[in-house]
Amino acid sequence: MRRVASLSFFLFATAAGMCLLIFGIWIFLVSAIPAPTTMVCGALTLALTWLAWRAHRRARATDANG
Amino acid sequence: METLALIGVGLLGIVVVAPVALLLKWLKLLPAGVGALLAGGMFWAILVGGLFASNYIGELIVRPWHLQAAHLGGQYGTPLNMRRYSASGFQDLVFETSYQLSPAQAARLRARCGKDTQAFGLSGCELYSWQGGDESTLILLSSDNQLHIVELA
Repeated sequence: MRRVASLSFFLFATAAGMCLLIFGIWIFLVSAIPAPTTMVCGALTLALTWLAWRAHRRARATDANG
Repeated sequence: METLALIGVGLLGIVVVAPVALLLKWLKLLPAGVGALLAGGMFWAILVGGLFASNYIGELIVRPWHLQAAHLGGQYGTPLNMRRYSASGFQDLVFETSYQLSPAQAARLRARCGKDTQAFGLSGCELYSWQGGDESTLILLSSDNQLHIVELA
């Protein structure tokens, strides 16, 4: 159960980051005044998700090794 | 302008997200190994990005959709054929949205064209024009099959 919750957490964060990044890139392409906040927040979300995933994998490996 | 908004929204985001991340950490609801700082940063980026994105969804998608539905009777310009969006001016804001239409779409619209007009550096036939007080709306179809929606607010 806890594992499904963890997976949902990372899936949600990855989906949110991807949506923000793609939408931000689209705004950047069509807007005469590029507004990078959405794009940067999307990239930041994906980067932090990756860091969190790495930390999670390490914690699980440590637990498994006792 | 966006930088100023980012400072305000960003600080507000920290105030909202920090206690949530700490609470989730305290309740052990975060995935193992993920600290409150990391989760808080992630939530902050999603919240701030989402707030800015929702503003742009309104500006770039919802408002043109309403204007076209009300004055053209259908959706000719969509997010996929949007080519340019700009917002300029300080107190008299000018919003300009341009779409590249297909020849068939342009021909359909050209059938209901009014007089030729030049405004805001654009020229083309007028599909809709409205002026009331300091506000005005103009929808133009230019000769290169571009649909322009200009709003002065």
